[in-house]
Amino acid sequence: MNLEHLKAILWLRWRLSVNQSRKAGSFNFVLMMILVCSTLVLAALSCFLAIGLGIFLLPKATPYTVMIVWDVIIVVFLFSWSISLLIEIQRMELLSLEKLLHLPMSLKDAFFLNYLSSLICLNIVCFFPAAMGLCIAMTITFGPKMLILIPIVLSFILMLTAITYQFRGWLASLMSDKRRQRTVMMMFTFGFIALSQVPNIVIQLTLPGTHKAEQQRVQEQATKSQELTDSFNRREITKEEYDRRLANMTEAFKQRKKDAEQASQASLEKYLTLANQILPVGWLPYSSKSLLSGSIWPAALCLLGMTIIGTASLWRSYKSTIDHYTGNVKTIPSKATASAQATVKLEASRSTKPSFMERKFPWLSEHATAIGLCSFRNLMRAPEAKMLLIGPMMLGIMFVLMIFTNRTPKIPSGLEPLVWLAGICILTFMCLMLVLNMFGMDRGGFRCFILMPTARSEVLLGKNISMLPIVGGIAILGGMGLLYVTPIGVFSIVASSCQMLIAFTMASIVGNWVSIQFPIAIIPGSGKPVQVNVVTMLVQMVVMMSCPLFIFPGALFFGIEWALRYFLSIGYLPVYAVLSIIELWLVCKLYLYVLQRQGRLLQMRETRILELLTANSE
Amino acid sequence: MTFAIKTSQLTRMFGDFGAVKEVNLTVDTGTVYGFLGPNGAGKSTTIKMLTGILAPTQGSISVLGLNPWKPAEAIEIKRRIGVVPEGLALFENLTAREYLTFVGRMFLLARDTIRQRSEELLNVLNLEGVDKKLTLEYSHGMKKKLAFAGALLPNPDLLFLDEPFEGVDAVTSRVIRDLLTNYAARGSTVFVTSHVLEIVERICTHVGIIAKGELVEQTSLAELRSGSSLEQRFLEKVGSADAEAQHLSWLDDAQPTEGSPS
Repeated sequence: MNLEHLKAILWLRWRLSVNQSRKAGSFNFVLMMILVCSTLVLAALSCFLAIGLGIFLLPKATPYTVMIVWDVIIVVFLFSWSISLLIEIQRMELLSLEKLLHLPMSLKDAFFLNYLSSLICLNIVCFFPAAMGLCIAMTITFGPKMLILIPIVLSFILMLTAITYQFRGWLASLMSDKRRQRTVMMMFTFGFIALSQVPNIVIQLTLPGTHKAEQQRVQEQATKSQELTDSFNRREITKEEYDRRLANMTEAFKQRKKDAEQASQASLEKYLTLANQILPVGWLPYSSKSLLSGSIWPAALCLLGMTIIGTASLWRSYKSTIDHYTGNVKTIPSKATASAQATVKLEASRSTKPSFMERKFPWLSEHATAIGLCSFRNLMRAPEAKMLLIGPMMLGIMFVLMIFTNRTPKIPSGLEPLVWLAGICILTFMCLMLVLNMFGMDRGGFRCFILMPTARSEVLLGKNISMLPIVGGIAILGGMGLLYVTPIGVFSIVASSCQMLIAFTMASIVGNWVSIQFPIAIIPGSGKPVQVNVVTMLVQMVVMMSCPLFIFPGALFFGIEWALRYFLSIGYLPVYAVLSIIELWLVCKLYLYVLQRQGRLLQMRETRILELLTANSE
Repeated sequence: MTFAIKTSQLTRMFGDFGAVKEVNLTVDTGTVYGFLGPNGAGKSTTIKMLTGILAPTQGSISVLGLNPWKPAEAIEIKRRIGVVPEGLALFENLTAREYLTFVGRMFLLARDTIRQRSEELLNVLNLEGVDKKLTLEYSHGMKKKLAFAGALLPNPDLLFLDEPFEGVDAVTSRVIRDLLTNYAARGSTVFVTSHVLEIVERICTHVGIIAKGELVEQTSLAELRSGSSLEQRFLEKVGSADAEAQHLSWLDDAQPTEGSPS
């Protein structure tokens, strides 16, 4: 191992990053260059800034406040660290050690060079000077015992980078299986989104309690104040007495509020300190707090703990790398192997029972059925599609939390179907993400549609049908949730179901057109578009934003029914349901009429679509 | 003799660059036509235009007597041809059996026929053991074999194969060769591009050579190689026969120089 090797690997990582940005278009490249330059300037400034601010502001700060300052720095750093890790996982070429092994260096050298080069990244370049600046400021302000924070910062970086390196190595070995690779990427993205929602979930769960107590206090105060005013109005007390009692009451209320806030603050301080004590990423802030409180031992233990964790992670990562390349590794049976073992069982059943791909629907042509089933299966196994469904899932979780913490708003009686319409609108917005780029995930598979002896309208019909189970499934789950929160009558359920189908059919009509005219190639397994021009982006945005128009007639029909009920007292006519059924029939007619024309448009544009979908991914 | 494929002045431009220039191809029914050319000569572009994947800039095409660029006739042609295109036409999230079922259904074959043919194809092409894997997990050779199976499944009258032997092992290569020979023997036509001249020599009856987008030769294989090897004639036609042997300065020295392993 020598310096030339390290320099060469650093250069390689830099070139890979630059080329990757170039591939994403000149705009992205310029943006990346601006980001890099500003980060470097920020890094240079952050050290002096931290020293300056530290010297001026820290003398007045309590140990707890200093811990919070470090916590904020660590949280920001961890957030940007996770984002860069997420990006790096999508660019597998940066992780691969295999590409270095044919070069004149040992496996040990390759391992450590790769680790060292991974330390040179924008996050650390920004974090390290700022952290060092703060350490220097604390040393100047609170004395030389604060110098121990410098090795603590270094051990923190060692711990974090070593754990990440071990994690990446584990991911890389998992991702050697192509099918698992995409699942890992999907799960990682999901985990990241879920993690970033944790504060929101915590607020959802804890806020109702504090909110309730606050409301109760205000209510009590209002009652007492009312009683006092009543007494004064009944002339039971004099004006002076009234003013005195009111002032006392207000003072007591303020005191209670202050006590409650202090109790809440103390409780928060207790839990935050506990979290910093338990979680290794909190040991650096906790060390600073304990050092300021005059206790050096917790800081020394944190230093030791982080160094041990970092060294152990690096050693474990090194061992597993050696085991991987020397073949001394237990392989995890892949899904394919497991399913291959079940092949015999399947073979027996295959002769009698039609498989999923062999199913027939009497109301659908053979071509549309085959395309629908093929597209549905392809979609359900594509991690990109699952990534698109993460949004609705998170929304669903938040909705359930709102229901269970009784934070759902009260809906005025008779207007419940409007809530359902809003739900339909949200659902349509979500399904539009899949519908507006139907061919994007087919990539080379789109060539198959071109080569097949079928009318192109059948391709579109099959594609639209393949989305129905996904949208329908989410709609049923959403409907059940809404039924629990805002129950509605049978006619309203019929009308809402019709509106759901109308929104889906309209989304299909618009989606077909956008998919044909503005297709976007998606990078396999990542959900990331290859190259999107401004017009395509604008069209997609405008269509998404205009999805409430799909349910506008529905809202109008409901308005008519509501007006009849409240102004003319005619409540027995299910106007909303009847008009929705008629609208559904008309929209279906429109769909069939447009489908033939869109089929011809697809035939005209299919070679251009193929070019766009495969130009950068093959 | 009827023509399976006939083109007239077939041209495809990419901006100012002419990938295929005024090509007049004639492929007789019942022949195995080898379409040869160096890298970037225009073989795949030609095959794409013949199969309706890429629109020609000018010229006319007749495949099985029909025009693939007339919407009404295009579907009829697609019903009668099988294609292994350059980038393949596989869905990465389907298994081999699912893909073949899909193709079979698109050609309106009966369920039992699809099952029987899929079984035979997977067996013959040695894909049976891996038919539970998704195609994204396949090696390039396995993907080629599956695409070939998909092209053969509907029992077409005309097969277009773009580099079918690339990345395929020797055993499967032999199987594909035998299948193609038997297929042509019953009167069907094969249009195949390949870099492997040895394979072309073994299976093709007729040969077309394209270089820099122009069709420089079109004749029967026997006629082409009369008095010489196919490789020699091919190099003559593409203009590389008299090229001098290339040298690298540091490899010519007798003594090792800087950068050599000591």
